[in-house]
Amino acid sequence: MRIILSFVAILLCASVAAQDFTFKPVPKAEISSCTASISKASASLTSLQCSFIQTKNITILAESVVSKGKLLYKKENKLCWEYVSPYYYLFALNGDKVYIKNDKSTKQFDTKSNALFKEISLLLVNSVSGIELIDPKKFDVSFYENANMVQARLTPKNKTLKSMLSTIALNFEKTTYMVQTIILTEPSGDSTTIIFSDKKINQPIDDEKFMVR
Amino acid sequence: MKNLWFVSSFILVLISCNSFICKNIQTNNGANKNAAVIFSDTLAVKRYKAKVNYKTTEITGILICKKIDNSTLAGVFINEFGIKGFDFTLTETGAKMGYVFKNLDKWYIRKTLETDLHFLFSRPKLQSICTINDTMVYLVPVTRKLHYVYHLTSKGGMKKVDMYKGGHIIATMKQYTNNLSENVFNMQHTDGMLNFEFCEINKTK
Repeated sequence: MRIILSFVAILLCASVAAQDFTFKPVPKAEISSCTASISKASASLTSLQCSFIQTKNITILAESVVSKGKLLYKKENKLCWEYVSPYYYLFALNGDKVYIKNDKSTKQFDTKSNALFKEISLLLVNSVSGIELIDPKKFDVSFYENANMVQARLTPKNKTLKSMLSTIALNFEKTTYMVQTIILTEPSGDSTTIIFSDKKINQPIDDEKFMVR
Repeated sequence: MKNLWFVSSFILVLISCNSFICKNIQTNNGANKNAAVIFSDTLAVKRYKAKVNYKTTEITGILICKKIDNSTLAGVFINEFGIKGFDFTLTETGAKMGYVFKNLDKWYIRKTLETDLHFLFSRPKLQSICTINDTMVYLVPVTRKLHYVYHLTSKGGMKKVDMYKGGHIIATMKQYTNNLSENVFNMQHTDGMLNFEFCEINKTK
């Protein structure tokens, strides 16, 4: 019995090892089909509900901060980014309005009057939907892949965004071409990894969910 | 003779600086060991829910502090999305800003943060006792013009700390436990322009 179990364990390990998780450049000839698949998936995405885990790695302290929450997205630009841990914090975008809610108060801003909020909002919405970010006018884009994922690595051209982030990596699942992980790397070398899970795609979401009071 | 005159004048200036804040200064060699200590463990890490108010602007996020050796504390402020606002190191003598987010990276912001972060997170040995308005307090000279005045409770806990600049209180810090049993530091500038609030995040969260 023990021999059989060991054999099964070795087989499992071998199958995991056989999957190559290292990202390698996507051959030039395949880049256009990659972009087309992402565009198609993005175009078909009308709504998304999921959970996320955000891990911030702080190099100078050799520490990380883990935050958890839920995300709601509805086309065109309705987004609700709700943190429940380590404490409650909600960032919602509804058209040109940004709402920030914590355990004590709710604040409202206009993205038209705040360039930084506009950049952050656009980044969040486009990270979730995928395609808008892969715009060569806004970013230098390169593609990588492994057995399960395609990674789009974006280097910002915009001055404001460049001061915040040196690269944005979006990992798309090869089966659905939906964003599975976002990795934001700052000029200081610190990085933030956001992993999405429990996705519900194109399910109806009430507009009320984006009206924060 | 010239040197003696200079030294005497310097001492007189120092005495005069202290005397308008505190009266009857005495040195207590056995430093107050009951004073609040933030970092009792070597290499301990503390996480705070942070809120900074400047005039009508509010910045929130998480402040992580870690003791990186016996005399140095390092800290990083990030917003909820993980974007770094600033980092700093702090020793007994002062705080030094490292990275500061581009939109905040102005010399006067760096200077203010260095002064305030040192006030908030340094826990100097309390050796000099004096009286202000007939109340016994602990006096910590930081620079010639800058002094921290610690008001302790009868049990030795920290009641409040005042930051004096040139004989005037410019900021006050209070430490308390809120109704969720969280440890809170609150620092307010007396002009009401700049406030800091750090609420320790429980490990269970």
